[in-house]
Amino acid sequence: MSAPKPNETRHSGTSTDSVSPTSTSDQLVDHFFRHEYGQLVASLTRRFGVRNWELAEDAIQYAMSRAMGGWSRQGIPQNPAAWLHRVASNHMLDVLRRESRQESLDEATLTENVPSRETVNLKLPENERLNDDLLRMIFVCCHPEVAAESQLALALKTLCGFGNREIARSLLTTEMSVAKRLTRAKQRLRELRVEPSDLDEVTIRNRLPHVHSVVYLLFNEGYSSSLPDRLIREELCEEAVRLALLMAEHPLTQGGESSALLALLLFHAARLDARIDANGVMLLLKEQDRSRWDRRLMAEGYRWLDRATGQGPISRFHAEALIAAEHCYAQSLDETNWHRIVQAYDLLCRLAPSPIHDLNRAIAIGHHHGPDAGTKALSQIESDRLERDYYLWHAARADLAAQTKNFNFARQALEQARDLAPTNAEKELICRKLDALGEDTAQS
Amino acid sequence: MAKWGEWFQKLGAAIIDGGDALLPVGKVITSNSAVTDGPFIEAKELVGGYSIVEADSIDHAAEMAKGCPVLTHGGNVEVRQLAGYSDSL
Repeated sequence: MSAPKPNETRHSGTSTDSVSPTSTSDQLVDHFFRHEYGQLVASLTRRFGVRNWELAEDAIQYAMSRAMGGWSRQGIPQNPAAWLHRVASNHMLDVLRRESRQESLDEATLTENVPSRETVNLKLPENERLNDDLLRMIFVCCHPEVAAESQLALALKTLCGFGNREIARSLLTTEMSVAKRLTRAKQRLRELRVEPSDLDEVTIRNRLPHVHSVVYLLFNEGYSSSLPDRLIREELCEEAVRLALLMAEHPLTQGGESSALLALLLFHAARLDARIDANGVMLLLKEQDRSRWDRRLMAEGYRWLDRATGQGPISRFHAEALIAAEHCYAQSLDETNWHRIVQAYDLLCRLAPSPIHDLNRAIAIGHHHGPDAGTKALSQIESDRLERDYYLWHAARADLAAQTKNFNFARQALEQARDLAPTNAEKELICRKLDALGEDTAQS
Repeated sequence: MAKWGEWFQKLGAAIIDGGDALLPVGKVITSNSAVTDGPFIEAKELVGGYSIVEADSIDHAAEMAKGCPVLTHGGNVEVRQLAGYSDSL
């Protein structure tokens, strides 16, 4: 998994392959700020309350713009995070004091509502406290009363420091719609008077499966190849791993499910770089150079999967992590242990019934027992929704049919897949497959 | 490594039937579709997959496509401009 590296080429649409030093340092600064942003929002919101959420974001923007100007002239301070925290806190205090005066509140109310500079600890809170702030903020963003589509936007904005434009690109929507979602979500949280510090252990435990799902989805957005911006895809995955790690390690959220989710994401993250070639071309599993899979991330994945197996109960994430682990463990596609993968899909389908899981199981069966068995497994799936919505259902049908030289059937399935494909890029893929099928038909 | 492998071998109906202890899994949010997608290698990297490259011209994109490994396997690559991203081309 790759954070923007100093020497990494960004596919920015320019004809040169090199990145100028300025844009490289800008990327690093962006990256640093993005991570600090989530931490700062969490810590300031916990201290000043959800009602001051937007003010906190403004104050952080202010601190960051001060940093941009000041640091380039005077150099980066020894502890940049603490510097940002102090400047943003002070700015918030100043604004709150000014507002209080404008509302002509008496001095007593002011001192009651707004802590004075002297009473506020301006040092950066301890690491433990920071993690706790961020963790609580995840649970605020994933509040069940917030519309599902807004939870992701809120998490990306608040926890990951994404801009509205990046969120729009991540969630395949418009900036306008992102802005509306964020405003509505924050308003709802203010109405509900949700405060990060009010979250008790029981609430956190109860909401944990849902938060897992949001982090899983965050990763899936990055893992799915429908996003045109490679950098955003990688950052989404990286952020999801970061949040999963926080949950797996934090005493309030650790356990089998958190460990298994983290293991699952690590296995997929280990392959991210190898899924794309030097020209940004997406590679299928059989085309991937397995020596480029990240051994370190895979080792971490095995470590967390080991831990997850000792922490019951078994969850769908255990099953999914096992599937991903088998793929990582195989030295080549031919050496893949499809028997175990099918077993893990059996487990997944029982733990979390879903036609998507059935579909992937059928593909695995096709690899394990041959296309006829795969087709049979496919035919047993409750597929109404898949037929209507999911182009990969039809693409999988076509693949199996083509393998049994049933080319007419494969063609029809591919045409359905093409019509359902959600993006032009996916339509292009299907068209390519249709062309290839034409050649096969001609040869047979 | 060996540990989860052994554990996996032992996995059976007994564990699954202890399902009462399972935490309810929150429904994964979907954007428009009624079905829940996920990062599954089988559908996405065996059946599906495609490439988007950003290039400054269609010729530039064609040049990039020459490196595609599918070409060494007798496949072909088609380069087309994406609708909706015309400003980047």
